[in-house]
Amino acid sequence: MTSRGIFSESARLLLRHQRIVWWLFFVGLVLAGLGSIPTRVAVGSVLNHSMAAGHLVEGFDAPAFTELLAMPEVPLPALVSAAVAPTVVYAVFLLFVMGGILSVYREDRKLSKAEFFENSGAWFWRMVRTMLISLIPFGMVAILFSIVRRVSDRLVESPSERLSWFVLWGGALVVGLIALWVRTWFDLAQARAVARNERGMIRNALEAVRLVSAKLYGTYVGITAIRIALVLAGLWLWSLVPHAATTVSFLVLQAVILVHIALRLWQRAASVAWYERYGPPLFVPAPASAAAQPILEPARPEQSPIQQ
Amino acid sequence: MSGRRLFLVAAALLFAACSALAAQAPLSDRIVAYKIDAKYDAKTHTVDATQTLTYTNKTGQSLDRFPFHLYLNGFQPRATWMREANANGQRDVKAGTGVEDKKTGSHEVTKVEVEGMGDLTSQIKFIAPDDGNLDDRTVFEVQLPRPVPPNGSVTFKMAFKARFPEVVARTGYKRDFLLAAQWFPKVGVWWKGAWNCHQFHSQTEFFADYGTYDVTLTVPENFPFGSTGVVTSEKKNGDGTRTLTVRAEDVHDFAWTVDPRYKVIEDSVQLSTGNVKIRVLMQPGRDSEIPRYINALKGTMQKFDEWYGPYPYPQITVVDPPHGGMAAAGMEYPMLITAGTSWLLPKSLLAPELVTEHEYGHQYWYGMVGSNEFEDAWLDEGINSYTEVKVMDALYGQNTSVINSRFRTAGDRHVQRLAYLGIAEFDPLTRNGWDYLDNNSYAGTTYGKTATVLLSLEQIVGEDKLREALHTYFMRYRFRHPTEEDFMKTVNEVTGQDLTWFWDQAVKGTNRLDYRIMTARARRADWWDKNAPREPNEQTPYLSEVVVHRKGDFVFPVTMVARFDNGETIREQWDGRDRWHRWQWEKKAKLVSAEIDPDHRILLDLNLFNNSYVVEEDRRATNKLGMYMTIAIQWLAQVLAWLV
Repeated sequence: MTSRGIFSESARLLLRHQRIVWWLFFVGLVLAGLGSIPTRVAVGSVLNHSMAAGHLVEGFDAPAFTELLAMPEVPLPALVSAAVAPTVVYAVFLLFVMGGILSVYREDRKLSKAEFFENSGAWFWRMVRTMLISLIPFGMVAILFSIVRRVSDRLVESPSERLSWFVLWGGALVVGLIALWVRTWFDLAQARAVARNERGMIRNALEAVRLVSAKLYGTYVGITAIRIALVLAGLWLWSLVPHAATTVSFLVLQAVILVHIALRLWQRAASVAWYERYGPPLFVPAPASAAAQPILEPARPEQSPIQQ
Repeated sequence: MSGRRLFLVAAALLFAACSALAAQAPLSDRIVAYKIDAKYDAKTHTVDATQTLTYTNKTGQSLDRFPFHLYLNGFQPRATWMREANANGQRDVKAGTGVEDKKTGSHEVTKVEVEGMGDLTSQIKFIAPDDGNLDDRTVFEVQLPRPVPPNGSVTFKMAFKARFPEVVARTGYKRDFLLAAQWFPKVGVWWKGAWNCHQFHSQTEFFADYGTYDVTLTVPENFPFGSTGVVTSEKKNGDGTRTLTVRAEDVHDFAWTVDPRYKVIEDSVQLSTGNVKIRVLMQPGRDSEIPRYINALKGTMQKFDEWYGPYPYPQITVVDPPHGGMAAAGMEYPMLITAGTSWLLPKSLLAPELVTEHEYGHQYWYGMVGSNEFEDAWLDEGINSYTEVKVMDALYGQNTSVINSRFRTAGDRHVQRLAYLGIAEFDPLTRNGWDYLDNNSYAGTTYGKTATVLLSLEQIVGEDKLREALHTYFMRYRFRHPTEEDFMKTVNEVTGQDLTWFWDQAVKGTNRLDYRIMTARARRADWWDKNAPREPNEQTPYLSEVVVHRKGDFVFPVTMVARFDNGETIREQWDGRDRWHRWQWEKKAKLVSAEIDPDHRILLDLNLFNNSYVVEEDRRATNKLGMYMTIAIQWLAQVLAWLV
């Protein structure tokens, strides 16, 4: 299978199971809406009866906004905490349902709610462990980026004004691509864990790293490029919306987030499709019961597509 | 030729001759005359020089003791400047970061000889009049064997060596770039009946007498050059150096700069005094920034010429510091300013325009009106920040003069106000620079608060009157050293108002100004009438009420506008003295809103959001901010989700 094959097959998977996209979108929206309530209450107490609020309606007057944030009625640390909490909840929620999502993509059929959540529950802790393992390479990527930044800072001494900037952004691009490779690796590890009902997550991660192929990575890069292009197009569209048209702004930006979620799930579907194609099916997919007592078939040695 | 015609011709000739003489007459008292012969070593960033200073005693009394500044010694580890910067932070120094060797500089006077009095090198005595720091060597004095009588003069012949730091506090080098400022021994100022020669502090600038500078500088041949004054001659020495002779008149400082990478751009602007030459010394790769500097400078020069007074010098130089050398950016010296930009600075951020405007404004409030920047920094930085707001408003729009993009805007007046809000109650304007709470308070008070004070003063005296007062102040005190009282007296005089009550609170005090609409409501006045229709109509009488509360201790006259649902508007005045004031109206219209300071001029008010009250809630701004908060949380969640 070519990377174009994975591209289209995973796109079809995404579209066939677009309910998942909508669900994630709505959960995120509801959580964010809840997280923004303290902000609405706080700024509302200052703005709702003030004519000075006009500075923030017809345009966005940066000093007026800064002044608003400095007011005692707007307790910034508390509002930030209230805003961050839902993001953590969303991340945990995503970890929880990831097993179910990957099962849907793997089996390419609509699971009942019970099946979906049983699958989710069955793989939850394994997903958590995989995520914790992934923090090691992601941490190394972060260290790499800090080195790039340090080098860039030192290049301020160079006679060329632009060198430091290009090193920073060129370095950031390279580090970003490395981070994407790590993401591809662990997406594949999660797909493999579900496919093989794997329990040893360290072993699973080590097996997965050998499987990451250029084709799968190329697919990830391609989808990321499309995602960036669509997000930028959406933001450009938003920039054309008049300041006072809050509802239109909201809808445009929600569309951008929806697209963003969809394209991330496209990558997930691609990793599952790729593993299903190149990694042999190893067990009868009955994850709910399998989680308790997996029915294993004799495993065949994995074959890397690169070796074929 | 008839006798009458002959008389007219003679009168015209006489007038022309007088005008020519007047044009050549010194603009200042020319207390000092410096002749400096200096050689710059670009490898060691040092200057070896001899200096002859002739001081004319116009103090009205005999002087036998002369103090001198050695500013570069401020960049020694145990100097007061360095101690203060390390303790409290400074624009270019993060508090507690210690001292890097390359950031140190020094001044060494190797010889002091006084004409007719002999070699007085051994008489050099370092003093620390401000803090008694015996390790501070930024001020020395020389005791003469006999006094200089009133109207007499004395000539000092000195030899000195200056070593520049890597650029800090707007002087020093960065790679091959050099901004040589405060680089020669400078005599103090006889002011208010005593010598005024303060140590160099991390938050203070400078103070010096007017005079002439004849400077001969030997610099590398391929290094483009810029300076205070005008180059009068130049010769190549055949050893890779060239010697420039520069003459500057009626200035109180002399700075110069070299950098082999400078691209020199020349232009000119027509002012009431004639054509003024503009030189821009630009870093390579920033060509798109050149018009930004030049357009801002031309616009500013024309506005100052029109509003405040003439620019009498033939030239102005704008220096674009190199990247990594921003400690040299944003500084003023006579006839030379440093700006600052970057090759990727967006056009919507008007930082190059703002800094160009600001530094040119200093040509007036520091350069020509010689305020004491040690003790009265607000007379320079503050008045300059106010005029910066006025010029930037005129050139780039009141609400868009700092940031002007589709997504957000910011006007200079509100940026100045933000600086003031954070430090409103700490320090009065009338405070020695080194006595402020910290660097934030110094900057916020001298720049932001003064600008905000003067913008608020417009509400009392009117914008045009204040402009007229500043014009008078400039014309009256240019090439002199005015005091704070001189400024306040001039404003009182020109506006015809005794503003003592205002100066006491806004300039000499730290009073907090905050008036708010405490109550704005309308109730049916026919509530007692059982026959009155339940649903209101045009005939329904309302009792409307507005209460304004003075929250702060700053008393300021209040203008309040009440608006009613029939379109009627009522404008009321209150002297603002009591703690609160109530207005009531009974009319067949319902109160819609109440607003104090309807012209939005009293920017000293610490809370502008409580200056108005709309009876019917309007949630548009809240909804907008809530929406963006929702989006921000969603994005943050997506970032976290990517990691899992």
